[in-house]
Amino acid sequence: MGKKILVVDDAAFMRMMLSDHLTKAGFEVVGQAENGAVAIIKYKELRPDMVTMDITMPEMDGIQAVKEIKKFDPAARIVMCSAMGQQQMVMEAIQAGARDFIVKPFDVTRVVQAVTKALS
Amino acid sequence: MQQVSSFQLDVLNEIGNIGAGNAATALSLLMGSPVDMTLPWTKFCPLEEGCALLSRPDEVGVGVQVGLDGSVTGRMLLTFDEASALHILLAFGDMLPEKDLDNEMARSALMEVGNIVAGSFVTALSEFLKASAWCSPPTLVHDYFDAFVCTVMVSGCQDTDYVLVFKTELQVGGKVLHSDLAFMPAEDSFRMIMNALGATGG
Ligand SMILES: [Mg+2]
Repeated sequence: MGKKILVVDDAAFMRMMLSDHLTKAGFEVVGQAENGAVAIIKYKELRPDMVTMDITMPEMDGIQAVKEIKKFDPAARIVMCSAMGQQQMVMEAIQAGARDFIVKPFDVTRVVQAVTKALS
Repeated sequence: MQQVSSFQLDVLNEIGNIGAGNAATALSLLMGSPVDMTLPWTKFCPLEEGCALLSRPDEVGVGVQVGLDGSVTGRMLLTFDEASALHILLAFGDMLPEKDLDNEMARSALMEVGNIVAGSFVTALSEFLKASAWCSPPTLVHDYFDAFVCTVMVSGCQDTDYVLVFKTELQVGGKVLHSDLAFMPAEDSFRMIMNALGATGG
């Protein structure tokens, strides 16, 4: 069975695209969350093998969510999904424990590569 | 009125062109088909004049607005007429099952388009300023231009009196779509940009 992935992004369209790419690559998308706060709840509930985490979201942003998830589970594997101009925030997320990042809009090959690497 | 020299406007237009190039690359990747984006002209004017430029009387349109955060603050608004917005949805092909402006997924796709266009411009601008800025989550309006353009441009911009309007042409799926991108910088961001462009120009 494919590794379990939680997809976090405030944009429904981006969640759909990413879930689609991941499912086609053989991963199992077990849940989706539209902000950082929901992501934390779903992480605790679903215990996924990996999380893809958007940065800019309402309610709670992705960096805060990474910190909280890492506090709950220091072994959590998280890949950030960043938009243009967010290099600084990507660095902050990596310092907070994220393993890698992918840039939006998504390039399928790069997504699969980053997720596979972060899972190994 | 605040003066912007033709030299400064040229530089802003050039920054806009870089943004448009980056936006085209990102949109092609998002939509899975070639997209081109050009800027026929750039205009700097008082807010009221900008409202008039973007409003299209008795026409229904779609607007995506984002806030700017970081060292450059303010907001941006990207507008399309309804037919162009629908054409963009069509260009997404099978990725979007419902090409309907009331459908949540379709609206989300258009917000992402707005996010990319605004984000590309902000990135080009912040690279020029050697600063860091990014967009806050987008919102979408689908209504008569008259009903939303001025409200969006003025609301939350109490310290903004001017707007930079980029006329844009988007080539998507064999059609040229006309769209407007308005940038309402906050007062201090506006001053920072103008200082960086050189007060006297030339
Ligand atoms: Mg987001």
